Amino acid sequence: MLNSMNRNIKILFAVFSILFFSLIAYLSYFQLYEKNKLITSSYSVYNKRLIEQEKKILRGSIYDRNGNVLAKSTIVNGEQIRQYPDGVPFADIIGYSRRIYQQGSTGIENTYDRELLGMINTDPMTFLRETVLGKSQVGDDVVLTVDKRLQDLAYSLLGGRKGAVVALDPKTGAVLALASSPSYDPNTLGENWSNVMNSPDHVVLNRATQGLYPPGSIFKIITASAALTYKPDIYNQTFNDVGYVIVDGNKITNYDNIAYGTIGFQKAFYVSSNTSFVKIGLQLGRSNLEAMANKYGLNDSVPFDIPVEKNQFPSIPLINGKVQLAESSIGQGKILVTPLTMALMASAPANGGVIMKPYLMDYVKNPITGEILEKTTPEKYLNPITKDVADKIKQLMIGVVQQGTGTAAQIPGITVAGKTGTAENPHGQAHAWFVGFAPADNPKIVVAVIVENGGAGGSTAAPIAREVMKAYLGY
Amino acid sequence: MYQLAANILKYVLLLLIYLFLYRVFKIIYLDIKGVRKEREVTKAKLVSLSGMGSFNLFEVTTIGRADDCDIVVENPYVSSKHAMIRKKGKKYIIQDLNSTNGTFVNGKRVKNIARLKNEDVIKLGNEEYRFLI
Amino acid sequence: MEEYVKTGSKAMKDVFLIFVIAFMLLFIYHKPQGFDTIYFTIAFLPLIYIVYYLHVRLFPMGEIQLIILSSFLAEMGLIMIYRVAPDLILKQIAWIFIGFILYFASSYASLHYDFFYKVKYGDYMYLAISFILLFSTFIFGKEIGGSKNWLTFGSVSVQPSEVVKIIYIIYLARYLKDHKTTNDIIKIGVITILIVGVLVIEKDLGTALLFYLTTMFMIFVATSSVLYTGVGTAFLGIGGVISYFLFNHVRVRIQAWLNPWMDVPGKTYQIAQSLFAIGAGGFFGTGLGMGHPEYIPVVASDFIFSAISEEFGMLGAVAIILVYFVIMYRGIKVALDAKDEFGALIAIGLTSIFSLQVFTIIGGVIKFIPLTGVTLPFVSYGGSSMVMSFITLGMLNGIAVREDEDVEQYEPQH
Repeated sequence: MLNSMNRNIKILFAVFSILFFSLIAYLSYFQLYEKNKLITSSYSVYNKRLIEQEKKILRGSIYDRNGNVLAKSTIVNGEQIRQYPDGVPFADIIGYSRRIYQQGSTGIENTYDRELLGMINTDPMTFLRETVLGKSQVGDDVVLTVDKRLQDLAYSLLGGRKGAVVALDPKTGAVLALASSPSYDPNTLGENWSNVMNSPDHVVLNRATQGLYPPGSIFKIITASAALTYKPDIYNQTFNDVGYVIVDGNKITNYDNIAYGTIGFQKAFYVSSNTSFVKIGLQLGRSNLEAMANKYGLNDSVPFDIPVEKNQFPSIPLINGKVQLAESSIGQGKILVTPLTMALMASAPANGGVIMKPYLMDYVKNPITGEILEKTTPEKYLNPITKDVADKIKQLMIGVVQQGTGTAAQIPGITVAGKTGTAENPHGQAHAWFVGFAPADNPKIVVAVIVENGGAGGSTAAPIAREVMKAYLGY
Repeated sequence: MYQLAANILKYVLLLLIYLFLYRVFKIIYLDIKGVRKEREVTKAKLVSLSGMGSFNLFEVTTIGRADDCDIVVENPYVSSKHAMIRKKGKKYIIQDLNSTNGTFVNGKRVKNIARLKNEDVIKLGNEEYRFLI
Repeated sequence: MEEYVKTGSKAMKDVFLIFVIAFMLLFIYHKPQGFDTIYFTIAFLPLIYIVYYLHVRLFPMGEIQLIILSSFLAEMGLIMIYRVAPDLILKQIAWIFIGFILYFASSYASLHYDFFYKVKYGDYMYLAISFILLFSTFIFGKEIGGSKNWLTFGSVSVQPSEVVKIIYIIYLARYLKDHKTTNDIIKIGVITILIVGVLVIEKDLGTALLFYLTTMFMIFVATSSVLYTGVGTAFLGIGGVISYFLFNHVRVRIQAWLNPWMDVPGKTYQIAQSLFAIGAGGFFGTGLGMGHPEYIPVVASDFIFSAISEEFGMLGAVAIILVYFVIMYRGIKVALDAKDEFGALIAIGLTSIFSLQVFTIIGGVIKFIPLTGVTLPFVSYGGSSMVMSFITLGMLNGIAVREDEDVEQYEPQH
């Protein structure tokens, strides 16, 4: 036997050894690192094992800020049943899970699925013990910022009409109520699946976050912000309001065609004079108005716990854009916004110009030990205006409620600030809007209300906002 | 119930699998190192009855015509690896390695393994030895 | 020596216990269809004991470890096959039985492996048989599992490329023993590329790779030439790139390897499900019957390693790899101790193709390398693979215990 051949065979042995041990090394690497990516990634929907495993886990409960149960799971005859004690008002927030209805997942049930299944921070020893014993595991509880009492009230105030109410704390962004009407009963979703899904009223649409509406006159908050920021002298101008204005041959009228005569900036805001605000908008020009709209996030998808529609503020063309600029100044034309965005808009003057990031999940806790596993810390989202401008807008909004279109929102003993809107739309009667906050000197709650085809904002939407604020502030 | 059993037995099975592996690697270890152990000389010996001298026996001794046998027999009747004598505890046994002409102890053909006693006569092909402790 | 034998039987006792425990569980999990299933399954235990005992008697100086290790692997295969596809177990046991018989047959045949060398017109004969077998699938072949490399006779399907593997290794060993000039190597290169080309067209990518690399390794051992190895590696790279652009099935495999998530419901379904299974297993596995290996496609053959990873965990999977490592080590040792160059080359060829096959399929299902459909020797369901794996080990055993010269033996004189 040749010596060289023996040497070659030994080299080959080394090669094969490396091959085999690289397999073992890769397997270890896979188990330690790649595997976790596999479970957390979106591809895991293709992994039927997870669904099997999840059936064994008792899904966590969902609570409101005061500890009221919004969703809980119980075992009946070996099967997990999901119960929603306050089903209808919360259906569009809580949503449903594919673990219960195979067709899909929405809402909080979808966003905090992993938490509800207890798949975060599971103590390895507990996990091991439970796996050995084949015990069913318990998911974690999710506590929301919403107030059940407020949510129920808001939903009942909408009274079956199509619309939405958003209430939030302007200092933190914590959402206090997020009602969307009409809704459905999630407790009977299984039996009524196709009826619910094909409902002509779109009951599964969360109008507060996914409904897109023209803002109408509540947009004047943004126009006023732009004026006070970019052309502060407009604040001292007077406008000759004859009830209408003609822009490039198009006639734009005031609501109900009222002529206010010669009025100042403040009065124009109180009475929501379209004529004056078209003139303000034309003075500001497209770039200023667009800049301020963008600062308020009107071309953004608001970051939120549940899906939101993207707001639309189409840019105004440089040539022949005068009519669109005029319409945009009063919140008409091509602008489309969600009620959530309008609540955030109103929270800028309420919070010194700073809009906090809205959130629904307050914290996640272990149901047995009570240990807090995740907690949302409030953070800044936008800062469209300075404190100075914010305070001026706040004063304007106080005027609206005290002596303008929003008197229906007054609460005895509390200063309320607000703005009404009556949005023209192609689907019939105008949409009624109201945004406002109270108490004006130390705002604790911001409310945005829309009633589809509800007519004048001052008479339809403002009272709803008043009741919600009243209830929250304890009057 | 099945779950509990499967969960516990999973560790038992893994334990057994690794016990198996341990033994497999032990065999390799014995293979590499054991050669030296097999070289240890014992007090037993074979004395050729045809006057070819006497041979000390190791823990394991192979007898045959091949060069790598411990006791090399230049005899065409002997197979290249004819037989093996090994120490088992205090006893000695002889094993035929499928030789063509067979291994005989005191005239009886060894089918597989036979025990050796002092003064036994071993015949490989036509070579005869006396086994002495 | 005594301890050596004792340890061997202890190892066999572990194999016995694993089998008893696993099937006790599995018979609760899948109620046996009939008494046949129970009898034949239990018959596996005496079978491996008889084989073990026979091996000790027939080849006292033989490679007994090969029997211990292949029994263990076949057993793990049986456990997993009964777990995922209980209907297949009787056939698999039958194939294991045939495999053991052929192990002894090929051991005896290889005791006289000089015959393979001395046969007249050997070169032409081996090549002719190889090519006839390979081309036969073009004419009579049937496409199974995406590769057109099967011949069917009634209810039995065989893969001719499995047989060609061994014939081709004998051919290479015979040729390389006496032909080591550059021209000779080029000749081998051309023939190898022809065979590999046929296999690639038949979509049998894994086997193609095995042939190519085995040839390269045998040339390296025979010639010690770094140059040939370098050129061979370069050709492999070029060939890979060309077939990537030329053949859609090659492209799909490579893309699925680079990004197994690009099309999970479609092209990358297999590898994605395999990775899910391995991930689900973790370190200790889910336990027998507690995982879901049935979600993996072709789990009984190509993906059986993923199934083992799921239910026996990474520890079980690593044990399987270590067992193959030991088989490889024994093969290398047979080559080192072989009496002549021809024997050493055959041993190296057999060890190479066996080890490469193991690496290719395990590496493939864990996404270490692109997936190519070859079977996991002894473990995967399938007759051709089982039989040829036993023949491979049988030949290694034969080479190991071969007598060093051909001397006439005399009848005893009495």
